[in-house]
Amino acid sequence: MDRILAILVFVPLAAGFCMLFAPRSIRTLLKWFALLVSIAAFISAIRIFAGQADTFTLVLPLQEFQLDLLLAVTDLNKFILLFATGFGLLIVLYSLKINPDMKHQNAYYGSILMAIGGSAGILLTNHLLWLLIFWEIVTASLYLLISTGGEKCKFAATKSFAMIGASDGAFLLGLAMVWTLSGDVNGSGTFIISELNIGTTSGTGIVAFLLLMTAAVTKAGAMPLHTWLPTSGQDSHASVMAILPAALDKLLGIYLLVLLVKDIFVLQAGALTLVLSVIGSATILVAVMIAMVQHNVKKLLSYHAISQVGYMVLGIATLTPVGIAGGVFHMLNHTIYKCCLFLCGGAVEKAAGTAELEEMGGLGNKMPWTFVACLIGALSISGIPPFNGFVSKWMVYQGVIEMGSEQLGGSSLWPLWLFSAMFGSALTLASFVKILHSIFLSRRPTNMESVREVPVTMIVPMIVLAFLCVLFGVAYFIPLDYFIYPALQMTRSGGEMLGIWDSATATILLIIGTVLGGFILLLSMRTKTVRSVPTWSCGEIQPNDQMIIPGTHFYKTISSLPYLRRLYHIQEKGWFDPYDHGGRIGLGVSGFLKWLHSGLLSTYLTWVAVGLLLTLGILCQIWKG
Amino acid sequence: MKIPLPWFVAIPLAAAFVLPMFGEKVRKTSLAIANGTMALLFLFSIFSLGRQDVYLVGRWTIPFGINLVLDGLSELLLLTVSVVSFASMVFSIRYMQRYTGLSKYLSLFLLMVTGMNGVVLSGDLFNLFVFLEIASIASYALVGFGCEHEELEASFKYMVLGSVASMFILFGVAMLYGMTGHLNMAYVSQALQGASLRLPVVFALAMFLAGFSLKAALVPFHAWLPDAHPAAPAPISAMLSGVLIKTLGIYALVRVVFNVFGVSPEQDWSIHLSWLLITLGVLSMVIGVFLAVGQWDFKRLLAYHSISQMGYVVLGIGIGALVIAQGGSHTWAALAILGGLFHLINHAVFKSLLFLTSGSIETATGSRLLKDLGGLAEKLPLTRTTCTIASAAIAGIPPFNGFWSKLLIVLAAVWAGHVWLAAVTVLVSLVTLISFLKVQRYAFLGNTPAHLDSVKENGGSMSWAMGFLACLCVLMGLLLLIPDLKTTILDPAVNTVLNGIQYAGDTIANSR
Repeated sequence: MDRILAILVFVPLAAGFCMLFAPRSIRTLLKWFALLVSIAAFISAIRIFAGQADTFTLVLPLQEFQLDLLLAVTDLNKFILLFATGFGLLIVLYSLKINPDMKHQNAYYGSILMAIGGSAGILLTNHLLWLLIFWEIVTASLYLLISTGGEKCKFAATKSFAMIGASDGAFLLGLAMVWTLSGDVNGSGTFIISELNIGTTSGTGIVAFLLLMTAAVTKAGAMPLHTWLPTSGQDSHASVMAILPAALDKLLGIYLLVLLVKDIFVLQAGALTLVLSVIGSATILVAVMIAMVQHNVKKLLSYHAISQVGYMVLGIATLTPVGIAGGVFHMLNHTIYKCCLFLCGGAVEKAAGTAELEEMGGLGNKMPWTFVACLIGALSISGIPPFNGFVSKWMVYQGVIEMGSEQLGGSSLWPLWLFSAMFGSALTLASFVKILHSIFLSRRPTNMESVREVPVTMIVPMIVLAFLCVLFGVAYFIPLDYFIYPALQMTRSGGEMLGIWDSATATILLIIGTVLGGFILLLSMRTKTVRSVPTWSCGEIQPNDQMIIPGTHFYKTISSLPYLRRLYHIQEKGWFDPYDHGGRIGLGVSGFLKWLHSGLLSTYLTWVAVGLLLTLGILCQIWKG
Repeated sequence: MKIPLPWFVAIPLAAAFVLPMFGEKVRKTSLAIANGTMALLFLFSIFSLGRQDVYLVGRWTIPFGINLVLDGLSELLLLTVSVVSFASMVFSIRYMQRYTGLSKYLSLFLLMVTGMNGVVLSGDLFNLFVFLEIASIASYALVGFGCEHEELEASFKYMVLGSVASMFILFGVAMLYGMTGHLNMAYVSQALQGASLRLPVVFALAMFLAGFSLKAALVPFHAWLPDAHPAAPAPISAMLSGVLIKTLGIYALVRVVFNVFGVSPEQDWSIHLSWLLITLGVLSMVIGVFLAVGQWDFKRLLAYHSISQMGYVVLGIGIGALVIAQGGSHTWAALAILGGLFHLINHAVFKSLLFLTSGSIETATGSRLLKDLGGLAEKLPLTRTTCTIASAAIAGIPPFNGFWSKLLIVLAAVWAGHVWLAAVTVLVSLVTLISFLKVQRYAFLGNTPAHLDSVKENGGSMSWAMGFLACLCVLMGLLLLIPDLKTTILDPAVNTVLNGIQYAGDTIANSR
């Protein structure tokens, strides 16, 4: 049955690749075919999770270096695999109705399948070079997926591929260095992940770690190479964002980071954990600050997708068991609620025809299912108990505190990390209050009267994910005991791991509190009469039914604070965008070289003469006389 | 089946002389003859794989007569030339419909193939020069084939710089002949090993190096290429970028440097030579790619990428030479050289495909300026698919062929202890990716502008040629991964380079 591993990787890849070339006339058929393949992939992942397969090896006798295809199931990858394929299935289901007239359906479904197969490959392979190959396949499928979005996605697709491509280049370089480090002077190195154990005391080791780390955090979307995420978030389909940047890319990036920290490298330098902690904390705070002032649902969600990566990176950076477990658990939770939120965003966009917060309002009773799913997702991402985001954030906080008490390297700064994590959480809540208000609660503009709830194939994925949010929050021991602890070779050591958090009691208390609150609200509405008067504003009286309190104005105070205003302004202009800077430098170099190539034959002949003289000089070693 | 080696030269040469007899009236016949010739050569080159052979022309023994030598490196290049020229010839059937003077075109095309096959098979330096001139002069004429202002100017520049290169090479040949009294490469090589004439030998080497670098368009000898390659008709651009610069430049360079002069720890200029090759490679890679990314003319962008990609090949070979010169393990030298040579054939395939797609776009839309194009993914699905595959290959996206060769070069560079060379390689690869993302973005993605609404796919022979090369791009990774293919196609070529001056002994032994 071990062949099932190879099937899970290569069948979706091959099917997806073939679908790219399929004629457009059979696109309805392709849709159902994609659904079939993704269901099959999910079922295989369940069987793998149940322990029906172990390792698969395909021998490729290459004499220069070892290139056998090694697939192996570990406790870490099997649960991530389960979720990766699960997300694939949900997104295919969700997409069935979202865009029936889309022009590039074969590319869309083809690249989703390729992303599923590629992710399975990344997770299952025990060979770093194969990991790189699958890694780039997933990158390419992200590009193809974004580019299905038509005219406005051209730029987003290009930028995403360029930035992730840069980090893939770093991956390749780091991989070559790891390979060299793992061998001795005469013998060949190894690419097999389980055999690698690179120290980070030498300069090469540290550089290799940083290069591979860049690849991991860029895929996951952490700073500083994060700017592809909001750009593509704004312009591409919400379902594209939901599957790759929100779900699969997070799973893969954090998976690689865990591999790096736990398996491939032995982190000895405190500076490296410091780097990771700084990346984590800065990502949390900065991204959420930017997210707060966004006016586009998808862009706002994209910035949160960046911000949340910070928790995962920070958790892993603590290097404490509870911190790493928290980071991995947060990765899982994040993919669930962020995927849910993007799907809600997509549903709202499809129903209302816009993704701009200013133009929406009062959709809560038009789209109740979406509202409920979005509410649960929003509460989860903000870390409100008893939803899942709370549990994992709590574990990350514990990890940070423990890091301080253990006096590891860089630990004297732990209050700073803790502060940014907790403050970031508060700001997240603030910005989701804005979203919930603007879309679902405030007064409905007249052109939104005709909005209807989306079809059932779109509701089901959202509700499934929202349910998981609740389940993993209330019964947090289920994911921890079945997925996280076995994956990290940990056991649940009593209650001390989670401080004094007791979800059962807390949930009951919370429910009682909510019911009580509702009761008081009901009571007050019954007993008290409220007098409503028209609004008087600057000498003009406006009727109440035209007054809309737009959520977009909620945090104007913050964005117009003295120093922050300036920062927000230059951020909007792209001053902090490595892509823009890289582009400017590249164009500068290119322009200079073009200027040199004047087209004059005499100049070119001079170059040839100079070249010949230099060649002669070097070969004859004229400096030796 | 044992194909006599002179057929590779004689058949296209004969066809080239027969074709001009047909006038404009019988286009179909001349196309059939030309395509038949190329198909035949393609088959011959496949049948010749895995052979070691020396052919003595007129049964004159060497060093008195002319000999043709077939070894691993020649086989690899022969196969590459025939694959690319076959695809370009098939592409020409439809593409050349808008040109007059078809039989002249076909005749020149075949002459160019004659010259390249001759260069690859030639066993003596003077015939190498003669065939090199045949191919070069045919290509000067083909670059100016359109006879427009721009094409003639490009052709003239190309001719001047090409003649300078030929002069350098001829000068080098003459010096070697003067010193050793031989023109046959095997005998020259043997004479050089015992020679005490150090400085003149190195002088000749420098002339060869400069001359072949000019033919291969390595920076700073590259300036003719960005004018010449875009000016030619698309299939000719594919030939020029795909194989001409490789046979006349890289192949000849490798043959002369490794097999005639020899790279070894004993010769103290070996290390300088290796670093010179590495420098040429790095300069070409970096300068070529930054020039490419700023271009808006699709063919010009591709032409600059040819310079950049030749840099990869030379870098790989240079690292190999450095490892040998420093007395390092041959396993790692082999890895670097394998990377270089594999990239050479990969580049031949994906770059000629890219030029063919540029021809397809130009035929369909009448423009090759990226800013005039847009949304062609809808209108030209096959061109889009093939162009995307080739772009992925040149940018080094797995599993396409370019990925594997770049991987080998990066691994070899890091293993040889030059991480910064690997870093440059990766950076250039990234800029390559970006410039092809630009091509995709402006030519294929988005909405179609109004003036391109009536654009249609060209179909016919153009589609077949592009499809054929695209399949190769997808499948060529297997050359590395399947052991049998690797040992028949790639390994003999690497061994020829690696064994260096053993070439002389082998050739002389085979001629008996």
